[in-house]
Amino acid sequence: MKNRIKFLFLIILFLPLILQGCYRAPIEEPYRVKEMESLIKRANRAFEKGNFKMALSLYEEALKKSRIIQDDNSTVMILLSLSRIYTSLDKIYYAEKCLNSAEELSKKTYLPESLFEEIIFEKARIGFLTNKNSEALLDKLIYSDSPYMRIKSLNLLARFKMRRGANEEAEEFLNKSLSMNNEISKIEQANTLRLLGELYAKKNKNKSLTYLLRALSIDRELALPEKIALDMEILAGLYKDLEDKGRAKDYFLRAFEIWKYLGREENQIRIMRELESL
Amino acid sequence: MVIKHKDPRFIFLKGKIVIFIIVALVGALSFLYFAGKQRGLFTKTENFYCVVSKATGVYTGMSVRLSGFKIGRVQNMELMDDGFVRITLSIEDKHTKWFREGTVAILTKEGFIGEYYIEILPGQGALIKPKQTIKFFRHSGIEEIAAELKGEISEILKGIKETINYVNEPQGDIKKSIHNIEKISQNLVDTTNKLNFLLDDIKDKTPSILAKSENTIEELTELIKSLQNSAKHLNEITSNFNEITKKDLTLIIEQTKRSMEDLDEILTSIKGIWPIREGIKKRDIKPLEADSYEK
Repeated sequence: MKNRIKFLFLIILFLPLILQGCYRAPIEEPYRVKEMESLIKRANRAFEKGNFKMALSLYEEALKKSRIIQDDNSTVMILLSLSRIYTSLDKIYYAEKCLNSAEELSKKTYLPESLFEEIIFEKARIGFLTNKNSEALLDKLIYSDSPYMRIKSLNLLARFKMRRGANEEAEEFLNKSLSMNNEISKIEQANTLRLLGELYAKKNKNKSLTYLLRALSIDRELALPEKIALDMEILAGLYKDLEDKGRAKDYFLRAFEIWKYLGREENQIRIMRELESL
Repeated sequence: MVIKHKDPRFIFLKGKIVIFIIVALVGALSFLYFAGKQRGLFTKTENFYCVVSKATGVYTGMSVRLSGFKIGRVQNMELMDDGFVRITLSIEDKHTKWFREGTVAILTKEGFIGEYYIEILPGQGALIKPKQTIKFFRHSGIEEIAAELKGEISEILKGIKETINYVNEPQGDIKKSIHNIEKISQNLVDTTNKLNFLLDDIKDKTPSILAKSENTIEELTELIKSLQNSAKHLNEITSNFNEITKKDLTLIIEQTKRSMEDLDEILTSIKGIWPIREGIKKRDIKPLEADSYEK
């Protein structure tokens, strides 16, 4: 009798632990973890080189691995990365789908704050790209603990404001971002300067020129072809407004060459039109 | 009474006197001939002229040379009505061939303080006939050079004088500098004295230092000896150890390797077991973060 009571007591004591343990796979299979990590690294490298299709394929493979080992944290991270790749490939529908899955999964698992904030930011960014009103998502992010997240949220918020024509508010956000960004993120510093350049393009052309040239200088330092092309295109537009046709043409041609190298046909067509109008 | 010269020395005395007179005359004439010949009295000469404004340094009998060889002499100098001086050069006939158009006579000296002479520089043109005038130049002697340099030397001397005055000025920089150098020298002397004192002091203390050093060296020598002995022992031990481990070491390493691999597998398995895996920090792999200006 006593033995039965002991046995029942032990079962009651360890039952929650046994149930928790059975909920997940008993063993993570370390070699699969290694494979997944390797796939993610390769995918990131491919994305940095502009090989989006390769990055997509590798991330899809990594997603399968992450599900096999039931690593929710990695799955969220992979879904987030997939969302970014799909936006780069102009497949917004798939991007949103990935993001929604990541958001759903994030509710079931414990995620680091930074990853959670990254999901919200991505959602706001896709909202901006699809002309949806997702400004409110950034209200919390501009007070994030991470300075980097604060800076890029302020910049994205400024883009929302500029689109709505609230230039004064946008300028306020951008100046705040610029003052906060003390060597935290050079990419975001260049983004802020570029946005300020766009903002001043009509009211103070000289100031706009200064901001844009600074942005170009930083992007050249970082060797980001896409951003360099963007800076050059905006600069060319500004020179066109200043009726400096020589420089305008020069910058348009340089931007055209970079877009051609990156295979962005849409951008090439846009520049060709600008060149024809010169 | 008629004196009879019976002494044999008086026999043919008249004849002897005549012969003596003839020989003496012939000798005298020969001497005069050779002397005249030597002096060029019998050499045929031709005259050439030079007209100069000033004949200082030129005198009658002055030698005329060509390439260092005497070819004639100054025969005469005469002041003409226009105030110029005409110098007559008597040139040996055989050397007149050098007198061509463009020939010039230069009054020069043997060195700076030697004798004056006239040097002929032959021309390249047609032969000049005797009694023609050739150009005359004067080569600067030491007097002329001195006269030319007089002005420059005066200026240099003036400069030297000014420099000396500047140096001698009591409140001048140089006097002050000399005064300072004197002070420095005095200080140097003081420093040297102090150094000497210091060296003497060191000299006094040196024997005690040396004694201590000797002791230390002795101790060090002993220490080195004992270290050498220890090293010998250590070498022996190492060689023994090598001999012992030579065979077994490979086996030990292989076994350790296998054990480590097994341990790694066990640890990996343990890491994967819940709830241990929850406590293990995940590897830092970041997602592709989009920036604020991304498409």
